[in-house]
Amino acid sequence: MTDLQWFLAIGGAAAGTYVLRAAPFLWIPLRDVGRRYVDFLTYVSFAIAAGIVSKALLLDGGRLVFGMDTCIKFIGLAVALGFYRWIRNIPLALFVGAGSAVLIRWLIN
Amino acid sequence: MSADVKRGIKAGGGVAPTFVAIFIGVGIAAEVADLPPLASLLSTVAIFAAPAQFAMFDMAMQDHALLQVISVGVLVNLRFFVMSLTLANFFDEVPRARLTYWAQFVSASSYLVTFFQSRRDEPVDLFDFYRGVVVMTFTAAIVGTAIGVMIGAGLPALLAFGATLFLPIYFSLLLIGETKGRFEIAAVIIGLLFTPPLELLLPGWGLFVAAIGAGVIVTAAKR
Repeated sequence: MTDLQWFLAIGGAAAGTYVLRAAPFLWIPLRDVGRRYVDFLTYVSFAIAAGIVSKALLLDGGRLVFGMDTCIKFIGLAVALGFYRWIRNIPLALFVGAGSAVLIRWLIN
Repeated sequence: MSADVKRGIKAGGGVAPTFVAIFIGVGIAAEVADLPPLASLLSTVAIFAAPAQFAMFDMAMQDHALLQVISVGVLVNLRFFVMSLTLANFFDEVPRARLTYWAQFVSASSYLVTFFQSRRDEPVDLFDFYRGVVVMTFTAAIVGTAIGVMIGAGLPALLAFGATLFLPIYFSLLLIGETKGRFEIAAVIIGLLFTPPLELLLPGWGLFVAAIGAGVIVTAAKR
Protein backbone atom coordinates (compact mmCIF):
# COMPACT_ATOMS: atom_id res chain seq x y z
CA MET A 1 0.00 0.00 0.00
CA THR A 2 1.15 3.53 -0.67
CA ASP A 3 1.51 6.04 2.17
CA LEU A 4 -1.70 7.77 1.07
CA GLN A 5 -3.60 4.46 1.08
CA TRP A 6 -2.32 3.75 4.58
CA PHE A 7 -3.55 7.09 5.86
CA LEU A 8 -6.93 6.51 4.19
CA ALA A 9 -7.19 3.01 5.70
CA ILE A 10 -6.36 4.32 9.18
CA GLY A 11 -8.78 7.23 8.80
CA GLY A 12 -11.60 4.98 7.59
CA ALA A 13 -11.13 2.36 10.33
CA ALA A 14 -10.78 5.08 12.97
CA ALA A 15 -14.02 6.77 11.89
CA GLY A 16 -15.97 3.49 11.86
CA THR A 17 -14.55 2.46 15.23
CA TYR A 18 -15.35 5.85 16.73
CA VAL A 19 -19.00 5.51 15.69
CA LEU A 20 -19.17 2.13 17.49
CA ARG A 21 -17.59 3.61 20.59
CA ALA A 22 -19.51 6.86 20.72
CA ALA A 23 -23.03 5.92 19.55
CA PRO A 24 -24.22 4.51 22.90
CA PHE A 25 -22.96 7.64 24.69
CA LEU A 26 -24.44 10.16 22.30
CA TRP A 27 -27.66 8.61 21.01
CA ILE A 28 -30.26 8.67 23.78
CA PRO A 29 -32.42 5.71 22.53
CA LEU A 30 -29.34 3.49 22.74
CA ARG A 31 -28.77 4.57 26.35
CA ASP A 32 -32.27 3.34 27.13
CA VAL A 33 -31.43 -0.02 25.55
CA GLY A 34 -28.38 -0.21 27.83
CA ARG A 35 -30.54 0.52 30.87
CA ARG A 36 -33.10 -2.11 29.91
CA TYR A 37 -30.53 -4.86 29.44
CA VAL A 38 -28.27 -4.08 32.37
CA ASP A 39 -28.27 -7.71 33.63
CA PHE A 40 -27.28 -9.01 30.20
CA LEU A 41 -24.49 -6.42 29.91
CA THR A 42 -23.23 -7.30 33.40
CA TYR A 43 -22.87 -10.97 32.47
CA VAL A 44 -21.23 -10.05 29.17
CA SER A 45 -18.72 -7.94 31.12
CA PHE A 46 -17.82 -10.83 33.42
CA ALA A 47 -17.49 -13.21 30.45
CA ILE A 48 -15.22 -10.77 28.59
CA ALA A 49 -12.90 -10.44 31.60
CA ALA A 50 -12.81 -14.24 32.01
CA GLY A 51 -12.26 -14.75 28.29
CA ILE A 52 -9.31 -12.36 28.27
CA VAL A 53 -7.75 -14.46 31.05
CA SER A 54 -8.18 -17.86 29.37
CA LYS A 55 -7.18 -16.47 25.96
CA ALA A 56 -3.97 -15.00 27.36
CA LEU A 57 -3.11 -18.20 29.20
CA LEU A 58 -3.91 -20.76 26.51
CA LEU A 59 -3.50 -19.07 23.13
CA ASP A 60 -0.37 -17.73 21.52
CA GLY A 61 -0.42 -16.16 18.07
CA GLY A 62 -3.87 -17.64 17.39
CA ARG A 63 -2.79 -21.20 18.29
CA LEU A 64 -3.62 -23.34 21.32
CA VAL A 65 -0.42 -23.97 23.32
CA PHE A 66 0.24 -26.34 26.22
CA GLY A 67 3.98 -25.93 26.68
CA MET A 68 6.32 -24.96 29.47
CA ASP A 69 5.34 -21.29 29.10
CA THR A 70 1.69 -22.19 29.74
CA CYS A 71 2.66 -24.01 32.96
CA ILE A 72 4.75 -21.02 34.06
CA LYS A 73 1.83 -18.65 33.35
CA PHE A 74 -0.47 -20.81 35.50
CA ILE A 75 2.12 -20.86 38.30
CA GLY A 76 2.41 -17.06 38.12
CA LEU A 77 -1.38 -16.78 38.27
CA ALA A 78 -1.60 -19.20 41.22
CA VAL A 79 1.10 -17.28 43.09
CA ALA A 80 -0.74 -13.99 42.48
CA LEU A 81 -4.09 -15.40 43.64
CA GLY A 82 -2.50 -16.99 46.73
CA PHE A 83 -0.69 -13.78 47.57
CA TYR A 84 -3.89 -11.77 47.10
CA ARG A 85 -5.75 -14.10 49.47
CA TRP A 86 -3.06 -13.42 52.04
CA ILE A 87 -2.49 -9.66 51.74
CA ARG A 88 -5.62 -8.40 49.85
CA ASN A 89 -3.53 -5.97 47.81
CA ILE A 90 -4.06 -6.19 44.02
CA PRO A 91 -0.99 -4.25 42.76
CA LEU A 92 1.37 -6.16 45.04
CA ALA A 93 -0.18 -9.53 44.16
CA LEU A 94 0.04 -8.60 40.48
CA PHE A 95 3.74 -7.84 40.62
CA VAL A 96 4.55 -10.86 42.79
CA GLY A 97 2.65 -13.18 40.40
CA ALA A 98 4.14 -11.79 37.18
CA GLY A 99 7.58 -11.50 38.80
CA SER A 100 7.57 -15.12 39.98
CA ALA A 101 6.65 -16.31 36.46
CA VAL A 102 9.49 -14.28 34.93
CA LEU A 103 11.92 -15.60 37.56
CA ILE A 104 10.93 -19.23 36.87
CA ARG A 105 11.28 -18.75 33.12
CA TRP A 106 14.68 -17.13 33.58
CA LEU A 107 15.86 -19.98 35.83
CA ILE A 108 14.63 -22.67 33.42
CA ASN A 109 16.21 -21.05 30.37
CA MET B 1 -6.81 16.58 39.22
CA SER B 2 -9.60 14.96 41.28
CA ALA B 3 -9.02 12.12 43.72
CA ASP B 4 -11.11 9.82 41.52
CA VAL B 5 -8.97 10.52 38.44
CA LYS B 6 -5.91 9.64 40.56
CA ARG B 7 -7.67 6.48 41.70
CA GLY B 8 -8.30 5.59 38.06
CA ILE B 9 -4.66 6.25 37.18
CA LYS B 10 -3.59 3.91 39.98
CA ALA B 11 -6.01 1.20 38.82
CA GLY B 12 -4.92 1.67 35.20
CA GLY B 13 -1.33 1.07 36.31
CA GLY B 14 -2.22 -2.60 36.72
CA VAL B 15 -2.87 -3.05 33.01
CA ALA B 16 -0.35 -0.53 31.65
CA PRO B 17 2.60 -3.00 31.35
CA THR B 18 0.50 -5.35 29.24
CA PHE B 19 -0.63 -2.42 27.11
CA VAL B 20 2.98 -1.44 26.51
CA ALA B 21 3.81 -5.04 25.55
CA ILE B 22 0.83 -5.45 23.22
CA PHE B 23 1.48 -2.15 21.47
CA ILE B 24 5.18 -2.93 21.12
CA GLY B 25 3.80 -5.82 19.05
CA VAL B 26 1.67 -3.36 17.08
CA GLY B 27 4.73 -1.19 16.39
CA ILE B 28 6.70 -4.21 15.24
CA ALA B 29 3.84 -5.44 13.03
CA ALA B 30 3.54 -1.97 11.52
CA GLU B 31 7.24 -2.01 10.68
CA VAL B 32 6.90 -5.44 9.06
CA ALA B 33 3.90 -4.19 7.03
CA ASP B 34 6.05 -1.25 5.91
CA LEU B 35 3.93 1.53 7.39
CA PRO B 36 5.54 4.95 7.60
CA PRO B 37 6.48 5.49 11.31
CA LEU B 38 4.08 8.43 11.57
CA ALA B 39 1.23 6.24 10.28
CA SER B 40 2.09 3.55 12.87
CA LEU B 41 1.69 6.05 15.69
CA LEU B 42 -1.38 7.58 14.06
CA SER B 43 -3.02 4.15 13.83
CA THR B 44 -2.68 3.75 17.62
CA VAL B 45 -3.91 7.29 18.33
CA ALA B 46 -6.86 7.07 15.95
CA ILE B 47 -7.91 3.41 16.17
CA PHE B 48 -6.53 2.48 19.64
CA ALA B 49 -7.40 -1.20 19.26
CA ALA B 50 -4.52 -3.63 18.84
CA PRO B 51 -6.53 -6.59 17.39
CA ALA B 52 -7.96 -4.37 14.64
CA GLN B 53 -4.53 -2.88 13.89
CA PHE B 54 -2.95 -6.35 13.64
CA ALA B 55 -5.75 -7.51 11.32
CA MET B 56 -5.40 -4.45 9.09
CA PHE B 57 -1.62 -4.78 8.80
CA ASP B 58 -1.95 -8.46 7.99
CA MET B 59 -4.57 -7.88 5.28
CA ALA B 60 -2.60 -5.05 3.73
CA MET B 61 0.44 -7.33 3.40
CA GLN B 62 -1.75 -9.78 1.48
CA ASP B 63 -2.68 -7.04 -0.98
CA HIS B 64 -6.36 -6.78 -0.08
CA ALA B 65 -8.35 -3.79 -1.36
CA LEU B 66 -8.44 -0.62 0.72
CA LEU B 67 -12.15 -0.99 1.49
CA GLN B 68 -11.63 -4.55 2.75
CA VAL B 69 -8.83 -3.40 5.07
CA ILE B 70 -11.08 -0.65 6.47
CA SER B 71 -14.06 -3.03 6.86
CA VAL B 72 -11.99 -5.56 8.81
CA GLY B 73 -10.62 -2.78 11.03
CA VAL B 74 -14.15 -1.69 11.91
CA LEU B 75 -15.76 -5.14 12.22
CA VAL B 76 -13.09 -6.43 14.62
CA ASN B 77 -14.02 -3.50 16.87
CA LEU B 78 -17.74 -4.31 17.11
CA ARG B 79 -17.18 -5.28 20.75
CA PHE B 80 -16.68 -1.62 21.63
CA PHE B 81 -20.37 -1.03 20.96
CA VAL B 82 -21.37 -3.39 23.78
CA MET B 83 -18.70 -1.94 26.07
CA SER B 84 -19.88 1.63 25.48
CA LEU B 85 -23.48 0.51 25.99
CA THR B 86 -22.49 -0.69 29.47
CA LEU B 87 -20.40 2.38 30.28
CA ALA B 88 -23.22 4.71 29.15
CA ASN B 89 -25.23 3.45 32.15
CA PHE B 90 -22.53 4.84 34.47
CA PHE B 91 -22.09 8.18 32.69
CA ASP B 92 -25.72 9.32 32.71
CA GLU B 93 -24.98 12.71 34.25
CA VAL B 94 -21.98 13.54 32.05
CA PRO B 95 -22.58 16.21 29.34
CA ARG B 96 -22.56 14.74 25.85
CA ALA B 97 -19.89 17.18 24.68
CA ARG B 98 -17.41 15.64 27.14
CA LEU B 99 -18.42 12.11 26.17
CA THR B 100 -17.83 12.96 22.50
CA TYR B 101 -14.13 13.28 23.28
CA TRP B 102 -13.67 10.54 25.88
CA ALA B 103 -15.60 7.91 23.85
CA GLN B 104 -12.51 7.56 21.67
CA PHE B 105 -10.65 5.81 24.52
CA VAL B 106 -13.04 2.95 25.25
CA SER B 107 -11.01 -0.26 25.31
CA ALA B 108 -11.53 -3.63 26.99
CA SER B 109 -9.35 -2.49 29.89
CA SER B 110 -10.74 1.02 30.44
CA TYR B 111 -14.23 -0.49 30.30
CA LEU B 112 -13.61 -3.51 32.54
CA VAL B 113 -11.61 -1.67 35.21
CA THR B 114 -14.39 0.95 35.39
CA PHE B 115 -17.06 -1.76 35.40
CA PHE B 116 -15.44 -3.55 38.36
CA GLN B 117 -15.06 -0.24 40.19
CA SER B 118 -18.82 0.39 39.72
CA ARG B 119 -19.55 -2.74 41.73
CA ARG B 120 -17.72 -1.55 44.82
CA ASP B 121 -19.47 0.33 47.60
CA GLU B 122 -16.98 3.23 47.57
CA PRO B 123 -18.54 6.54 46.44
CA VAL B 124 -16.58 7.29 43.26
CA ASP B 125 -17.25 9.53 40.28
CA LEU B 126 -17.01 6.79 37.66
CA PHE B 127 -16.40 9.18 34.78
CA ASP B 128 -13.37 10.69 36.56
CA PHE B 129 -12.21 7.18 37.41
CA TYR B 130 -12.57 6.10 33.75
CA ARG B 131 -10.58 9.15 32.63
CA GLY B 132 -7.80 8.16 35.04
CA VAL B 133 -7.69 4.63 33.63
CA VAL B 134 -7.60 6.07 30.10
CA VAL B 135 -4.65 8.33 30.96
CA MET B 136 -2.64 5.20 31.81
CA THR B 137 -3.83 2.89 29.03
CA PHE B 138 -3.64 5.42 26.21
CA THR B 139 -0.19 6.64 27.27
CA ALA B 140 0.99 3.04 27.55
CA ALA B 141 -0.33 2.31 24.04
CA ILE B 142 1.51 5.27 22.51
CA VAL B 143 4.74 4.47 24.36
CA GLY B 144 4.48 0.79 23.35
CA THR B 145 3.90 1.60 19.67
CA ALA B 146 6.84 4.02 19.63
CA ILE B 147 9.13 1.42 21.23
CA GLY B 148 7.94 -1.23 18.77
CA VAL B 149 8.63 1.02 15.80
CA MET B 150 12.08 1.89 17.16
CA ILE B 151 13.35 -1.53 18.18
CA GLY B 152 11.69 -3.68 15.51
CA ALA B 153 11.86 -7.31 16.63
CA GLY B 154 14.68 -6.73 19.14
CA LEU B 155 12.70 -6.85 22.41
CA PRO B 156 14.19 -9.37 24.91
CA ALA B 157 11.89 -12.44 25.02
CA LEU B 158 11.87 -12.60 28.83
CA LEU B 159 10.70 -9.00 29.12
CA ALA B 160 7.97 -9.54 26.52
CA PHE B 161 6.83 -12.71 28.34
CA GLY B 162 6.59 -10.95 31.70
CA ALA B 163 4.78 -7.90 30.36
CA THR B 164 2.04 -9.97 28.72
CA LEU B 165 1.17 -11.57 32.08
CA PHE B 166 -0.10 -8.41 33.73
CA LEU B 167 -3.45 -8.29 31.94
CA PRO B 168 -4.64 -11.89 32.66
CA ILE B 169 -3.39 -11.79 36.25
CA TYR B 170 -4.98 -8.41 36.88
CA PHE B 171 -8.37 -9.48 35.51
CA SER B 172 -8.17 -12.76 37.46
CA LEU B 173 -7.64 -10.79 40.66
CA LEU B 174 -10.58 -8.50 39.84
CA LEU B 175 -12.81 -11.49 39.03
CA ILE B 176 -11.88 -13.27 42.27
CA GLY B 177 -12.76 -10.18 44.28
CA GLU B 178 -15.90 -9.08 42.44
CA THR B 179 -17.78 -12.15 41.18
CA LYS B 180 -20.85 -12.69 43.34
CA GLY B 181 -23.68 -15.18 43.07
CA ARG B 182 -24.18 -18.19 40.87
CA PHE B 183 -25.24 -16.29 37.73
CA GLU B 184 -22.07 -14.20 37.63
CA ILE B 185 -19.99 -17.29 38.36
CA ALA B 186 -21.73 -19.05 35.45
CA ALA B 187 -20.90 -16.14 33.12
CA VAL B 188 -17.24 -16.31 34.22
CA ILE B 189 -17.07 -20.07 33.66
CA ILE B 190 -18.62 -19.78 30.18
CA GLY B 191 -16.16 -17.01 29.29
CA LEU B 192 -13.20 -19.02 30.60
CA LEU B 193 -14.13 -22.27 28.85
CA PHE B 194 -15.55 -21.12 25.54
CA THR B 195 -13.36 -18.18 24.56
CA PRO B 196 -10.22 -20.18 23.52
CA PRO B 197 -12.05 -22.72 21.29
CA LEU B 198 -14.25 -20.03 19.76
CA GLU B 199 -11.21 -17.86 19.17
CA LEU B 200 -9.64 -20.78 17.26
CA LEU B 201 -12.81 -21.24 15.20
CA LEU B 202 -13.42 -17.52 14.62
CA PRO B 203 -10.10 -15.67 14.95
CA GLY B 204 -10.65 -12.19 16.34
CA TRP B 205 -14.30 -12.90 17.22
CA GLY B 206 -14.15 -15.67 19.81
CA LEU B 207 -14.02 -13.38 22.84
CA PHE B 208 -16.98 -11.35 21.63
CA VAL B 209 -19.10 -14.35 20.60
CA ALA B 210 -18.39 -16.24 23.86
CA ALA B 211 -19.28 -13.17 25.94
CA ILE B 212 -22.53 -12.48 24.07
CA GLY B 213 -23.38 -16.20 24.36
CA ALA B 214 -22.69 -16.12 28.10
CA GLY B 215 -24.89 -13.03 28.46
CA VAL B 216 -27.78 -14.63 26.55
CA ILE B 217 -27.57 -18.00 28.34
CA VAL B 218 -27.20 -16.63 31.87
CA THR B 219 -29.89 -13.95 31.40
CA ALA B 220 -32.28 -16.62 30.04
CA ALA B 221 -31.45 -18.96 32.94
CA LYS B 222 -32.10 -16.17 35.45
CA ARG B 223 -35.54 -15.47 33.99
